[in-house]
Amino acid sequence: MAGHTRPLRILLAKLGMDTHTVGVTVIAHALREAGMEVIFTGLKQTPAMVAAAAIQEDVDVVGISTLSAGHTRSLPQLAQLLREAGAGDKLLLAGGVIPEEDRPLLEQAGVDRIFTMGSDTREIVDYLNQWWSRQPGSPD
Amino acid sequence: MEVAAALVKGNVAAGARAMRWLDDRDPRGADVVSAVIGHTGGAHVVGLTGPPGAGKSTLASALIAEARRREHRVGVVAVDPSSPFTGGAILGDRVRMARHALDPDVFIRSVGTRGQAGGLSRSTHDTCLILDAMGYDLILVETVGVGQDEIEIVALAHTTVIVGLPGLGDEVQAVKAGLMEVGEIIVINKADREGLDHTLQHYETMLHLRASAQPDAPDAWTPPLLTAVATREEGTAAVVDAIEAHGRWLRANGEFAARSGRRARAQAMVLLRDRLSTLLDQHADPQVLAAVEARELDVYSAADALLAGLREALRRG
Amino acid sequence: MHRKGSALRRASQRADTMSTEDHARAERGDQQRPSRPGEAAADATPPDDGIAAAAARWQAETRAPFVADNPERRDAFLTQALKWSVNPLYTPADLEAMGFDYLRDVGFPGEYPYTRGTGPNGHRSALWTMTQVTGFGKGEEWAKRARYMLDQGLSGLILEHDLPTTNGYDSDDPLVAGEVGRAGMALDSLEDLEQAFDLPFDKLQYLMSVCNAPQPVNLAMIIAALEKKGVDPRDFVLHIVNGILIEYTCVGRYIYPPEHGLKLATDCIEYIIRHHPNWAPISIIAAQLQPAKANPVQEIAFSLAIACAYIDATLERGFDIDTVAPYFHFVVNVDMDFFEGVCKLRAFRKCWARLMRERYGATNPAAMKIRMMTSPTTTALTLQQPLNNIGRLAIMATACALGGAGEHMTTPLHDEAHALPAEEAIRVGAALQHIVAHETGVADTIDPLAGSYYVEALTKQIEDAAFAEMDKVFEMGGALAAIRTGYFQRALGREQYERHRDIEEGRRKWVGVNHLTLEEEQREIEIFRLDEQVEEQQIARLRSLRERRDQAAVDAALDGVREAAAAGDNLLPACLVAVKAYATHGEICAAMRDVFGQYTPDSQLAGV
Ligand code: B12
Ligand SMILES: Nc1nc2c(ncn2[C@@H]2O[C@H](COP(=O)(O)OP(=O)(O)OP(=O)(O)O)[C@@H](O)[C@H]2O)c(=O)[nH]1
Ligand SMILES: [Mg+2]
Repeated sequence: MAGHTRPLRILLAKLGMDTHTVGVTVIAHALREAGMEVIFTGLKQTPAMVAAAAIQEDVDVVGISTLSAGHTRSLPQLAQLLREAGAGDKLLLAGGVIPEEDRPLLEQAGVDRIFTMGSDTREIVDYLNQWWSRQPGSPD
Repeated sequence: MEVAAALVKGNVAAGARAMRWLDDRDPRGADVVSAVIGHTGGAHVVGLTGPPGAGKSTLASALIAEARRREHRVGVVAVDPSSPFTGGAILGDRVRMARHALDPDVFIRSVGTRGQAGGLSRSTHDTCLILDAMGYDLILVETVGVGQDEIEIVALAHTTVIVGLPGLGDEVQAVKAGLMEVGEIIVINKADREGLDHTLQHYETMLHLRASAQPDAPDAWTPPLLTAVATREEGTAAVVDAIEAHGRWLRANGEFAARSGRRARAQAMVLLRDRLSTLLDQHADPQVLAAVEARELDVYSAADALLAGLREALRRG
Repeated sequence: MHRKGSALRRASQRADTMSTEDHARAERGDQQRPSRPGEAAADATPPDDGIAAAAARWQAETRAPFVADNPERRDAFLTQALKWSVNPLYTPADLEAMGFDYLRDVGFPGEYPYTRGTGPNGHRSALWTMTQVTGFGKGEEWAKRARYMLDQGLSGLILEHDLPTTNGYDSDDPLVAGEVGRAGMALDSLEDLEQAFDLPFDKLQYLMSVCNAPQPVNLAMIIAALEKKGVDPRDFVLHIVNGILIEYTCVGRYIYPPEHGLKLATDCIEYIIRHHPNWAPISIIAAQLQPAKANPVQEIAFSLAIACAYIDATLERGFDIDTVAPYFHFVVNVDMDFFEGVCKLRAFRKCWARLMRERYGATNPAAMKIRMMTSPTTTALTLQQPLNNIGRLAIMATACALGGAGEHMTTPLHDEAHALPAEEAIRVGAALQHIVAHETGVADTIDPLAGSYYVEALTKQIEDAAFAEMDKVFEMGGALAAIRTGYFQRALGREQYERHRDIEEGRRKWVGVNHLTLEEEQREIEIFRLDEQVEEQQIARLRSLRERRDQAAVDAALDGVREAAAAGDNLLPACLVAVKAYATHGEICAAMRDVFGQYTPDSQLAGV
């Protein structure tokens, strides 16, 4: 994390009525343990609510956990809302149950990286740390 | 300054970005502050503090709802503890305020303590300043759940609300020892729980002791003792009443501006210390340090030598 | 260094090395294993018991030298979920040390305490009813799928609805855009059920419907639809899950605050007992707690505490325990730890029997016989190399059968981690139950694992620990209090994180995930894809219905629902009137929302 004077900030969110929580709980704990600041939005959020929170908190990363097959609609919508608010620079991650077939659609919509079942949280942490070290850090 | 101009018009993304710069110690943050300073000073900063789990976030959410009915624009800074081991944190206060997510007149920012004692975080002051410039006239600062020593909020806020809860355990002891000395409004939340009467008596006694310890002033502020059930929004309008009343009292006594001023002065000192400590780290002569480490030089002489070195470096610019 | 000494001392040494961990668990309020086999005997002077002495001799003379040369392949052998240490060998001495008594602890099939099964003849007279979970798309698509499933040799179906439905919204509500028909069958009005019930009711012996938060609305719709189809409710078993308390605990499909949720559930129980006594008004799905990472002890304890909340509320409606208890039903699954699973099923039966007798003074045997559906768990099934899941399913289904399958068995499918079931997986899954039932012989004698020293020891330990945990929940005011304070949720959250670490840190090997992994996964199975048009079509149908129906009648019926809700009346009659007037599911749920309010949970991220 060369150059950063503060921890990476990530917003974790669940969209729609999908309330599978095991994955997001595991991720939240793992990221905290890796020294990141995790902000959780709560359940049953709309894309607009998540976008508003991401902007107010000005997090570096937005992470969505989606398991109940609502992702093809909600994720592109969220990405769009973030872009419209000038927050398209945030890293957008998704995890959960996301079939191969849907990846192109989501990637095109602006999802930067997808993690599915069996992803090692250490891999996720490494990925985030690497991304974070490439971001412009503190100037001193 | 695009960001400064936008944030004083209330642009949410611009305000959020300025907070991030300040957090990052990006020099653009300082520039924003000097550009917007003329737009600050109006906001009423209210601290919410009390033991962990007292219901501070839930109460904050209810207060936001009530304040919005009174057409306040509300900014919230919610501080949660960072892990002392990893520096990481799960900032959970926001969840309890989620229902305000889409209200454009509510802005919630979560921050971790990041190793800072006192129940606040380094960036809390900066965040309040930006919220103030953005036109949020009521700013709620929720501290981490605190014990008796962590009352830094008092230095930051115009009004400190102590959130207690019924019960006879350590929680009350903690409140008694430290917080009770300082709160301007006392709210016993979770009034739906057992032991309320006893707790109220207890608090009354403490407030009485506190009043008798203070010199008599005709227009002194008498801290009200209120009860609330934050989950049901009961008693929360009275809390907002009390906050507004205290705001009026502060203004009437010239205390409002005075407190803002004292806060700014203290914050300047904090920044100065911060910068000095960075300078020290940069200019501490490694040879001197090596000498103390090898026990060839005593610590006092070493400190003198390091300070001399720093002065020299500063003189050379 | 630990390798010498008697078997008994060995056990107690292990207890020592475990003690810090156990201590930490105890502090966090987790279950402690109440009695360790061999431990008591090791602490006291060794009993004058031939077997214990012989076991000690075996350990010293035969096993220890071997192990000294052939170190064990793991530092500790622990059960999968409870992480209880597993001894190298169990003998009658272990059972004796824990005070095991055959007649008291196990007894005979069909008799108290039902450890060996609730039926007197196991599965020799009849096999379990074979079922699977199903639900997607619109009513007519689902009906087609249901017919396919019945053709594969299934005779029971578990119908899941989509998330808009189970959360009480109509398909055109902007809050649920993109979720219609995706995770279950869409249901907006009686019309949809009329389409869905285009089924051969002679083949379908059993239908379980899952629609917990809006249960009175859903029950009313089913009753009305069966009426329209001319199905005699006496010839058919409808089973509503009606499981709102577990929704608050770990599933999430809630609408109203818990006390109102419980009230609505009780309305449905009462209505069914009074009007359709051959139906089943409730199921406590422990098999939802388990995937949220409840361990077997928590599963039994939380499920039974939750059952007590419903029972207490139902008793207040003027029934007695011997009438009410026989209506209670549980769905219990097993994970890959074979013995932990088998013993959990056995302990579950006994715990229920004891609870009914000891807490409620039940005397009717039917009240003490647990009604149970069993299932392999979903969470053992991997995304990677999905064909391996067929092997896992076969093993778990066998464990279910050996643990006493219950009245019904359902199995998840090998494509579980990919998407909703494809037809190929359904066929394989249906066949799998038949293979276990007909080819293996495991169902041919009753409770065949009874008498295994390990099985009996573990069964009893789970029972004792479950009772201890249950008492803790009762002390804090029962299940509703545990939900309100987040106790259940936090307990599960801790398990979730810790058990995930077991996998990442390699303590648990999982083929395809952290063992025998492939560089490149190749698609080896058929994957179900939903027709993208569903949402649009469903919304179009809903809107056309709103235009066709008698709006005045609908408005009046919805007022009726609000009045009944406000008055605290049983909501079934008002819901029946409303569904028959073609008020929509979402409208009726909204009418109740007007009165009961909406629930925002407290511990939204379990354990945080
Ligand atoms: C456990 C489970 C449940 C539990 C959930 C308990 C809980 N509180 O979470 C219970 C039993 C309650 C449940 C209920 C339902 N379930 Co379910 N469930 C599962 C199951 C078996 C496992 C999910 C899980 O917990 N995995 C373990 C965690 C650790 O893994 P994970 O979430 O994938 O997370 C990992 C990665 O994906 C990634 N990750 C995840 N999120 C994020 C986020 C970020 C930012 C990052 C970086 C990484 C990341 O990192 C994690 C660590 O490796 C899946 C099948 C499966 N294998 O996925 C079905 C599954 C998801 N469920 C399904 C369904 C349909 C439901 C229901 C909606 C049914 C219904 N009709 O109502 C209900 C209702 C739930 C709801 N309201 O949303 C379907 C979804 C179908 C689809 N997507 O096409 C699945 C796929 C099963 C199936 N084949 O039918 N379920
Ligand atoms: N019974 C009751 N519970 C309440 C009340 N207010 C809050 N709670 C509950 O108390 C718990 C803690 O509430 P929070 O608002 O998170 O408390 P907090 O003081 O912000 O907690 P920390 O930020 O962790 O220190 C939650 O479960 C709330 O629902 C109340 O008035 N009555
Ligand atoms: Mg809080």
